[in-house]
Amino acid sequence: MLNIESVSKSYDKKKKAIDGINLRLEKGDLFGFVGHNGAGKTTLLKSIAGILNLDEGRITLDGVSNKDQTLLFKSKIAYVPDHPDLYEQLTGRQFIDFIADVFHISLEERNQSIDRFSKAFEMDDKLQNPISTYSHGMKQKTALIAAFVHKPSLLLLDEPFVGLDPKAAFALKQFFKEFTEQGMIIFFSSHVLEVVEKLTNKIAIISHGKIVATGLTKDVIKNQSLESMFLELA
Amino acid sequence: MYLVLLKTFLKETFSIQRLFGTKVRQSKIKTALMIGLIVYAFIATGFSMGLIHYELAIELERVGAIHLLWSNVISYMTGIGFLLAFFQANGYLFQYKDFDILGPLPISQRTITLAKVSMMFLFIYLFSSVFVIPIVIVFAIYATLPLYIWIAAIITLLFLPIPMVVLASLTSLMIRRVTQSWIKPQIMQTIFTVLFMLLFVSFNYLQSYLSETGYLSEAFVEVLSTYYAPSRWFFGLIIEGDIIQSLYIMVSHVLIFGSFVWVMSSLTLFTNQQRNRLHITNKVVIPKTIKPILLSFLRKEFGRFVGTSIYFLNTGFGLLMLIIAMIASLIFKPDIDGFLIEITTLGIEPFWLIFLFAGFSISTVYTPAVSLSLEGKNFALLKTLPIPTHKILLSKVVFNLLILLPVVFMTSLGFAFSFSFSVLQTLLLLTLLSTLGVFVSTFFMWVNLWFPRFDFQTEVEVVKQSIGAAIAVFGALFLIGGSAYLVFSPLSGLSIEQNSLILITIYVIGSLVSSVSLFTMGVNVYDKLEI
Repeated sequence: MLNIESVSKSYDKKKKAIDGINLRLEKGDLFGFVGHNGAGKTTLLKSIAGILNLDEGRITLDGVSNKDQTLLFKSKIAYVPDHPDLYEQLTGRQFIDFIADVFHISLEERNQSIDRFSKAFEMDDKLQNPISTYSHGMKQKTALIAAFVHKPSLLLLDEPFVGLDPKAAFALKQFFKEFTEQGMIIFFSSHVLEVVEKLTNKIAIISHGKIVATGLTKDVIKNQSLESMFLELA
Repeated sequence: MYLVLLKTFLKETFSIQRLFGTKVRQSKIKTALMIGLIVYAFIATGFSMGLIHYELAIELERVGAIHLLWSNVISYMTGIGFLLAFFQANGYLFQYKDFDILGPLPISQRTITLAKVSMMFLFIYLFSSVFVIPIVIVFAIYATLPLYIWIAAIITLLFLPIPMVVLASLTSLMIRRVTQSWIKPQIMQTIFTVLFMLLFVSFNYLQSYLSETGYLSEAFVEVLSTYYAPSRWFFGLIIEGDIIQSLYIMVSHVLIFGSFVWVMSSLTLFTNQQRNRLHITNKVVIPKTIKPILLSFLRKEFGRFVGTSIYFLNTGFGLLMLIIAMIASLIFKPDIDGFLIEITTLGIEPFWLIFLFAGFSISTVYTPAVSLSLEGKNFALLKTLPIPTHKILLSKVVFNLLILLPVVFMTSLGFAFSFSFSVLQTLLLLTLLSTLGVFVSTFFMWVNLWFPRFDFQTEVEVVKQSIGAAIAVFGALFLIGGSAYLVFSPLSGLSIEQNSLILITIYVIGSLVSSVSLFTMGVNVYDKLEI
């Protein structure tokens, strides 16, 4: 279970980027996080991932705090930023191997995973090329494969569908379903409201650093569309 | 985990593409040129260092002080350690680009910091080895040491840069932290960095001035040994063969290194997490008029020049030194007469001395050789703008001349006054340096078109470590060296005026050929560039 309690973070003294965020996600939740540009989505994702430190509040995953038991917490998560800035001189395969090495994934296990995910994302014949030759979408796919390879308990994704071709986007949605069925929590931000509406079981709308609506997707949207709901609240 | 990180960093840093730039493998000529240049640079630097120290060793051996060669080794190891750490600490430690990759991984910050610091030291060792190895070889020619002392000395040398790296990293951090919340933080960082480097250079000059030979004198080594214990211990190892003194260095420096990594671990995490905390202003500047494209580009070039401290310091320091030297020549004008008599006796005209010094300074102002590369990913945007290519190239050349020519004019006049040149000689010097400036500037622009490097992570990779920058500086130095050869060898019988006219003619022809080809063929090369 991911527990986010009264989390706040500011970049300057005048304004809080996220303010008193409370969220609770259970195993198997597929959680969509929506908000306008600069609302605080990336700040919250980075705060959970341990890239940013919190000013206030507490984040735990299965009772493990990201502040007090940092390494244990990080061993359970994977984070894919919106513009993956990978090691450009490494090949895709070398980058994924680096992540797999960090998580001590056996060669047999990683080979199976890489083979499976790279075929699904049509990257199997491209992983031997340097990342510097990749398009944005290919970098995104490489970052996703690297995130999947160690089977995290919590998958944090910032705008994961941006740059993906339709086939890869479809494959990603299939993986989301498969992973959540296995008990993984998936927390992703997106501006593609139709995808969030159809895919998720829980959502939150953030506006100016504060959560303005959250809960089960069907309860939040009710009889409206997520788009009209979003335009009303955000 | 440390080894996993180090292996990845090594692959990322020492890839052929990263070192030599984009698509190097696609051109055999470029690859051959680059390999040739690197071999030349290593051999030339190593050979010069060896030759200088060989001459010095003869003198030192005569007075029974050959061990003093090691003082230069210590100076290079610590000095290069300081300079590289000062410029690279930010990229390696305080705001590393891969924080978003490493941040969420279950790797302790101490391990990450240790791996990053290791990479920094690797660069220091590689760079300083070019200077240090020739001196050590010269020492080996003149003196014999037991094998175990040699081994201890080499190992101990690796520890010597540690305190300076710590000091430089902390100084670099302090400058950034102090200026971060100020208005125009990047410009403030540049100003502080330049002031600090001037202080550093002044100290070196003072040191040379105090030394009788221009190298570290025995008196200086004595002072160094008295006040800097590691230096005393090192000489203890070399002169007395006392291995314990070597252990003093290793143990004390390991302690410093350990404390540094320990303190830096939390500090690097903090600085990387705080990178967004910059001075924010709500003031919106609305332009009152539409500016011509060239002017807008010149403003952009100027902003990048003063806002990127590594760029300013590397391509502007020659100009600063020229100004400082000119001011010094005015202040010490009474002493110059004696100096003039001395060098005239050696058969060197002061006119050519000033020309060579100013020419060397011009060769270091290589902004057009890197400014296109510094566009980085914005180059794609630049190519989509409806601006004629020749204006983009022109803006980079004009910017270079705008920062170069006023300084050249001002300093030429100053030197002419200090060295009592005639009016004709003064005009010739001005014309010589101006035409040289135009020639070199267009040549620099060509170099950037031939050797672009858009895929950099930090500006250091373009400004200091790119092949384009190296070719630009070596090329310009080659031109100036060639000019000196003409004047001092085949044309030595001609007067200053005649020689100047010959060189001016060469530079004008060179400038014309370079400019015309740049704005015709160069435009095509630019249009074919891809990112």
